[in-house]
Amino acid sequence: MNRSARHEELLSEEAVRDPYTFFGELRETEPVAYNQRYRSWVITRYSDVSAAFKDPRFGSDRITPYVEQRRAQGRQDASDAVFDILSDWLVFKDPPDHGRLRRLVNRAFTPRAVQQMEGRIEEIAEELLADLPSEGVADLIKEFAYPLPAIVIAEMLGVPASDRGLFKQWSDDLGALVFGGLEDEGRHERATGGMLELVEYLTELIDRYTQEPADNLISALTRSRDEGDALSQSEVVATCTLLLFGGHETTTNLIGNSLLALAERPELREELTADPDLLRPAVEELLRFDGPAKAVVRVMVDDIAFAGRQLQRNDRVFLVTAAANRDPREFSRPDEIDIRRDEAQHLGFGLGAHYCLGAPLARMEAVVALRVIFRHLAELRLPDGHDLHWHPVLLNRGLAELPLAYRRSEVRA
Amino acid sequence: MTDQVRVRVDPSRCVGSGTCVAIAPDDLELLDGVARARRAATVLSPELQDAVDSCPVEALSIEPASEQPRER
Repeated sequence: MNRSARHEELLSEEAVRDPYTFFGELRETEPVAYNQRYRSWVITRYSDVSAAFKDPRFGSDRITPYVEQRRAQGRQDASDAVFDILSDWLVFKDPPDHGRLRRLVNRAFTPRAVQQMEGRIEEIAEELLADLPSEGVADLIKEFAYPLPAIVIAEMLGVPASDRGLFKQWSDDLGALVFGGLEDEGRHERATGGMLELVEYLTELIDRYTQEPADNLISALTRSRDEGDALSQSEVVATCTLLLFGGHETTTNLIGNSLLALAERPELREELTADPDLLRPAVEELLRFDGPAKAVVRVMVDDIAFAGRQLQRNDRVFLVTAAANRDPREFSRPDEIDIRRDEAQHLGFGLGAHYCLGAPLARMEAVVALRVIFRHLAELRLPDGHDLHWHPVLLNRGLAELPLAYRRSEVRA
Repeated sequence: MTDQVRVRVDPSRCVGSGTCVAIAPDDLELLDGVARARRAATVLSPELQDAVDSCPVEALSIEPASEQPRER
């Protein structure tokens, strides 16, 4: 098969297993490539991806064009309700609504606000490991990397502990829609069901905290709603769904991918266990090396000439951060982990107006997660013959499960 | 008399989120996707302090305007 035909299949087995080689080949041969199958531009070089992130003509509202297309084709059904909610998600907003909403939500996620949560995050991480046997094989996605961020964001919002279990299915169903599953025919229907149940649940919770405010995000958002119309009721609901959802899967994958990389590198793991202060730069490098996002979608707001190609209004664009973060023009030995790198910043959290709002929280959760794991679990390794199973989605990079053999360390905190 | 302060932006850390510009537009602006102080010296208003605290990558700091800039 020739190069271009192979590179049409963005979710082929090889592209899902090793996106760095797959998109790296594109980066070196055709850095701004039009993909016929996905009818999208695929941009892979660091300088181009970074320029696009900062350029408002690469718009973030990819919901409105999609909804308009559905209407034009006469495709109106129950999933319209989901797109109504998604259209109020901060990540899909362009100015001026984006700035107004982001400013309100940002307060809870500043580095300082997040710093105050460190102790509680550590406590949750400790609790999650407390029940593991003294040695064996544990799926650290299921036992640890999934529940940790889910509990943290649920507590931040004010979701009672007894209701946490409800969210997993809703979140998984919605994920299939937002992150673009492969040939997953039922994904719209399932996402619709999950989203409607989630909205109903959150609306009740919002009503409760309107009457009895508490020290949590939902109460803060309802205050913003009631003071000077800064936030509408539908924006409050949509923002809660976004935060619940955004707080789940990506951080799970950051922790999972990091654990995998470190399970395969015992020397680096020993260094980090001995000196936990190195975890912060290590997490930064792991975000670059194998972060939870492979690509980000933009939709062109204008016709522009870009890196020698003509991009037209409404064209869809994939900014492939996974390829940009391994660009040899920016990073020496890009395919190796070097926690002492002092080079360009990685694009794992994006750049510009949509730079990940949750970045300080994600960093903190990953640092605490690794610190607690290394404190308690030694000799981490993949069981012999285990085949890794990566989620076959375009935008995210995450493992379906991560069974690791371990032995409990004798030192207890 | 209110003390004058200088806003410093670390351009190697700034990710151009525009958070500071949205909060304190009198003191900060985005130029080529990177934040910078609009004035050599300013007053430490609540908005400016909020902008500094809200930076997602802690790229902003405040120092007394009387001090010489440490480096350029």
